[in-house]
Amino acid sequence: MLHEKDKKTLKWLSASVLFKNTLIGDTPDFDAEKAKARLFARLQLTTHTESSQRRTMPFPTLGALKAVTETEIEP
Amino acid sequence: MDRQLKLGTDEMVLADEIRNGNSCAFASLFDTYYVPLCEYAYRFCNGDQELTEDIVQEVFARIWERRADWAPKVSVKAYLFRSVHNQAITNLRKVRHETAMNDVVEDTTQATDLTPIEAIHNDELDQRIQRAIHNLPERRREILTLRMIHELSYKEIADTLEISVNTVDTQLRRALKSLREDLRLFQTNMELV
Repeated sequence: MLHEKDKKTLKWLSASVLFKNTLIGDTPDFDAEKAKARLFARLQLTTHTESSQRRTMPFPTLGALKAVTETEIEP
Repeated sequence: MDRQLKLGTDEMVLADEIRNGNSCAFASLFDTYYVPLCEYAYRFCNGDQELTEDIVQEVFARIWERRADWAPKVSVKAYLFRSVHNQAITNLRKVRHETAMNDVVEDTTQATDLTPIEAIHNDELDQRIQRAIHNLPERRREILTLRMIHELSYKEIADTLEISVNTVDTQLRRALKSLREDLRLFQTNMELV
């Protein structure tokens, strides 16, 4: 496996943003969410989990809550 | 070591869930690896973002469509990188862009988030680094990228590129030696860090 001087070089290079950027090259911003939507539409899948569905449900307004309460109180 | 074991176990659970048709597990896999895989594939696609994303999407689509039989013999990470690598190379051959791989590095340096010290030496350093990386044979550059950028283990790199662990080790050591020599002035002064 790597010798001490190799490890040192690797550590040294890893600390350089410039080196890493050059190594990987200039890449565009890949939009994972958009890509996921496209893929899941193609595969006819949904990404909604039960918890995310719960989160997207509108929280009842105070007025609606009051109306429900009043309805329940009424004989 | 524990972390690797945990990751491995998590991956096995994830793969099981996907085999059972759990789309949330599939989404989790996609969320984790989509961008790194695109960044990896991009260099093989001659700067074609659309093609890059198509290749990566195709790999994920195939996993889902054949999920019942999906049983990677290597780690999930290595499986994904290998699939993308193979798909990209196949495409590269098909469109006869083999030479593009050697040209990618030449105009790709867009440094961001530089430290002040890096910024001072940017021009000279930039050229030295570009030259040093460009001097590396493509395979060594790829191994270095998989190790440094995508943080694959030796075994995962070996599985991705379908070479032995010993070859990974040898190639990585040679790459580091070459870089050490090309960048020795900067390394001696430790100004790059």
